[in-house]
Amino acid sequence: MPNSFIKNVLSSKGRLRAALTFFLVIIFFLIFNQFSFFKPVSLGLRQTIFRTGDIFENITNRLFTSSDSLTKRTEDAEAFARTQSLDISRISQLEKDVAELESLLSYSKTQTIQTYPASILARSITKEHSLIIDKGSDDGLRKGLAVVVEDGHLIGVLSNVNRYTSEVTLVSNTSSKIPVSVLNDNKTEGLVEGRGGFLLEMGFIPKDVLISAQDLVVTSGLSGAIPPGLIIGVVSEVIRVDTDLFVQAFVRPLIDVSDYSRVLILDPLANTQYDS
Amino acid sequence: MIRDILIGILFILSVLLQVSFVQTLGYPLELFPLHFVLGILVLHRANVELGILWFVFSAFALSLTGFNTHVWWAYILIAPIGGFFALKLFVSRSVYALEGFGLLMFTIFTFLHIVPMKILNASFHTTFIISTTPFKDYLLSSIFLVIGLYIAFIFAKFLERLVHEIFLVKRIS
Repeated sequence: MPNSFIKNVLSSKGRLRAALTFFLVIIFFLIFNQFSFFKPVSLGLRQTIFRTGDIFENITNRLFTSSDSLTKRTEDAEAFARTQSLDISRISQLEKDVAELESLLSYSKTQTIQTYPASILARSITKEHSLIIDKGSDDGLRKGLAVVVEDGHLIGVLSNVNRYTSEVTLVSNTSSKIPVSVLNDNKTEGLVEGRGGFLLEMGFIPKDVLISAQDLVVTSGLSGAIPPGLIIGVVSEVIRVDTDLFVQAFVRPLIDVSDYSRVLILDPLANTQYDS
Repeated sequence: MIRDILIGILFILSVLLQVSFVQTLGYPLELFPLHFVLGILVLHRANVELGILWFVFSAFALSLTGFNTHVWWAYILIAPIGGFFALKLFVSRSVYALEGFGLLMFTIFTFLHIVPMKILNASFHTTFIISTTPFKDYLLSSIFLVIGLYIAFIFAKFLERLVHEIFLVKRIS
């Protein structure tokens, strides 16, 4: 380093004064920064600057992220969401299937009569309140057999049997007529008909018979192919008209058929028919 | 006197901005050498002695207020080197001289930081870690330095004109 340079630097009073002023300003800041009354100002200023930098960093990240990267991240997130939705849906369906099968299996074990498990293939559009199942005459089904779900809840009767599939007329179908009995003290018997809606109608109840809401309605077994004791529903309302000879009752099913995808067909005459 | 105080305040503010603002930004914006740019400007255009002191104090001020990205001896050594260049090599006050001066200083400064660290195997100062891409970081920082010096030059010219007009008018009036 040339000596003239150093001499130039150190010789001038003005330069020394400038350097000293600069030095004092910095020392002043560093010293007073240690005192409590100045620190809040200093720290507050630095915090503000830091937060501003943070905001800028977020903005620049958003602005300068490549569109390809963003597109890929979006696609990955969407694919993951779809996978998750599918998995959730699949698991939910599996759980439902397992519950259904367990229910049918446990009910089947309690029965001494022949049972045929079947899956619902379709809900008929042309005819109201009908189902198509995947079992037919080749599987041993016949017309008029009872179709149940869960713990013996009757949902309908086989109305049309093909070789590999069959049609089930639900109890809510207007053409459905099921002989039933009410589980009350009188063991009232009647006929439950479908009305095309959710509620079923039980008519021809003698006027002097005591029947009340929440009474359980089950199949009476008077129809040869439908075993007795299959649950139809509960009495929801009783309509008495003084001028009528009979009392009318509405029966509310305890299950919703649309919740099920598997059914059980009961054949009480199977052993009789095929064993003999 | 006022100018010296203002440069002192500028030093403090640039230190705070460097450690709290610039270093908060993500890569590669965090490589912007704001404090170094202002130091170059002071050294080249304002006052050589203050510029030397700027870099000497930077060695400690940046560490005291935040995280210093370079070792202290790089600052101490670059100070007189920069002073010499400002007085003998880059005496022109044009923007080209400023850019050349800044680039040369920054290159030497980076060299002074990396080479001893490599030789010492970074064992002397454990707080400093040599970047895995030092050359890339140096290139990016140099680009930011050039852009920063150009913007600072324009701003400094504006300020000089403004101050000159204010004080010259004041003196005349």
